Amino acid sequence: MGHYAGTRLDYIVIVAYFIIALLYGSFFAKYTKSTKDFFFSAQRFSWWLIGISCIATTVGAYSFVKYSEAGYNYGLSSTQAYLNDWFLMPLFLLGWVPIIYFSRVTSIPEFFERRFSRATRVAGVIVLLIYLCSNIGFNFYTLGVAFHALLGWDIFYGTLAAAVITGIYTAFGGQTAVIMNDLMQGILLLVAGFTLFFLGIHFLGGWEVFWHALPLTHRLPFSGFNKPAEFPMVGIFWQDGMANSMAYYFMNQGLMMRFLAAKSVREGRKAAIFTVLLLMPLGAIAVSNAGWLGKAMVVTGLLPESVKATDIFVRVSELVAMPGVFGLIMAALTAAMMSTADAYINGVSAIMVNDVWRPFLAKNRTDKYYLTVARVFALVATFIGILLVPIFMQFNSVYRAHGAFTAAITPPMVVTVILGILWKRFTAKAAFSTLIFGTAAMFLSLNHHLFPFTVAPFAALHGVGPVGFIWMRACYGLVVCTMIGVGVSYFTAPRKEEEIQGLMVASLQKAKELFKGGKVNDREKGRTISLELRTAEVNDALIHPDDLMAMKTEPGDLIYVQDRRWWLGGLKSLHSRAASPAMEAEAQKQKAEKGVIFLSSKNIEMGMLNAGEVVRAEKIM
Amino acid sequence: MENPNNWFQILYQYGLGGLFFLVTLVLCFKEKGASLDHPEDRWMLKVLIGGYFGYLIVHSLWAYLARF
Repeated sequence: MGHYAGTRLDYIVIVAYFIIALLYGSFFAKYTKSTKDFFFSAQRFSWWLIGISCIATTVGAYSFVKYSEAGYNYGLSSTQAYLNDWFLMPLFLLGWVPIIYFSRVTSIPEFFERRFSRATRVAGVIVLLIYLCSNIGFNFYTLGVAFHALLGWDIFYGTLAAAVITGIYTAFGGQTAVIMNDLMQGILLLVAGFTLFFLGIHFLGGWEVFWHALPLTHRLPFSGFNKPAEFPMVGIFWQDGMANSMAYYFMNQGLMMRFLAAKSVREGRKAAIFTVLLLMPLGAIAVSNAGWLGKAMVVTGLLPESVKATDIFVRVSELVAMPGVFGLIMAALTAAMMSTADAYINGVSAIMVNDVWRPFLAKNRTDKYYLTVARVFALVATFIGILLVPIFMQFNSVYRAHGAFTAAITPPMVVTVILGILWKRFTAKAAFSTLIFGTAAMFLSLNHHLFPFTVAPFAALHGVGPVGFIWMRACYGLVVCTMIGVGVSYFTAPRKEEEIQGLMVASLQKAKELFKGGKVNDREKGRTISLELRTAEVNDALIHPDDLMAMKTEPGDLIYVQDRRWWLGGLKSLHSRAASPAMEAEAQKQKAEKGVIFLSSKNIEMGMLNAGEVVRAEKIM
Repeated sequence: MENPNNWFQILYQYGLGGLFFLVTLVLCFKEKGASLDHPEDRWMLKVLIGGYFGYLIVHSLWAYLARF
């Protein structure tokens, strides 16, 4: 296969994108003054920012190549993995999101210690670090492969520049830089994917030509139930729909931090709904369509039948993209890599600081010290990812190896999390056993010739042949890990309920009260109102009783104050407690005024707001 | 060649996935993680059920229209 060298305009687009990503990401360093800012952006963002950031994280550099190949071979059913997440939403939206948010858990290992034991936390740290670091390296590597295929660049050097830029803006800007950069990158990769689709349809001669060029099997939403063995629907359901999606929502530290950066649980829920109902289908089309177009082009004679499925993204891009657009597609690939890797880099940094450095190696230091450590670990994580690239280069089929590895380590973790939040009787020893013996059982299954009793029964039950065993490993893993967890729980004693308050679905009300520090106001949300911001020597936000009534807010409730420009997505904002007008008048000699919100100058500075401007205020809880 | 269709796949995915969906939804309400007395939880319940049937309808229509 020859390389499309790209025109000067393409190179200008790519280089411009690199510079913009670096400057834009680094700009947000000023919003990071504490570890809370660095990891969770001070919990200030709106649902749409979190949602777009989530889809940018989901779509990696490999997604375009991998799903285009599936789209070419199996048609529109390549979208299956993106469209089967909804089944997890009740537990995610009503259970996991409020638990992590209200219990102020900063990492999954920390949840393991608080819910189970320190040993479980240590096991969780090891598994998660392996998972996150391998994903950073894998994303770097796949971008290098794409650069090599499209431009002929050396795999290692091709990816180095993008990796360094990602590391720099993540280390300095933290979660705010990650989310704001992901906004740009998420939009870019969707725009580039759809541009390619529209250009391809136009190139083919219109929608009718495209649609009727595809065989019926390529137009269906699902592949065959258990055939072809390389892409069986039942395998995709268990591996992608269940195990990998559970891993994505319940154990992906990077994604978890994204939801913790939302201004409220309500906002985090809206972000997840927006992502799964709208952005995932759009993302599926963006990453797969080159494969569908390629198949139609082969049928209509625009591409030779000898074209390889693995090259289809490159061949279609070469064929339909004009100068400049090709550069845009390359920039989108880079964006996909950066926006996935940055989440993992931030995740590694969070685990190293919150689960290793702070509790074990350097206790009781200042927040500034931990912020510096967080930045150093973001750079270290980037460096490890770069070091892994030459290792990945030694494998012939790294996609398959990575898929098998991910599927092998995720079931023990997700079963531990899910049983942990749903079942009070799930014990610490059972959780630890699930992680250790579950992982061992998964690794045994990697060699099904030596251990045929592992995956084979689950594959046989669904009529999947040996070629498709890899897809059924997740089904085996989820069943075996659940059996270990349930079995050990029945022979060991659970922790006392009062020790694990707020960490299970059953004690969510308690978690809310602990978060708020008092009784929760569960009345309707009330209106978001515009108020003039003024400085005063007050402890909490002083608002006139009439305005409080409009917000359905009572003194002591948590409120959210943000810049009136909605499109900032909460970048300039803060949380505060609503003051009692009578008490503030008594204590601080400050009277409330209608249409005005009084905040201390320290709070105003923290929210990066300016006295005298109009802000919008709403009740959180 | 037999005419391929997707009805069994839809039944499997929305049946088994639906079972997980229903069990976890019921558990969240039964364990008092969510409550029908709470306005936001009522809204969530509507969205969750709507999303399930929305995806089911889209996949079913897609499988039907694929032959035209």
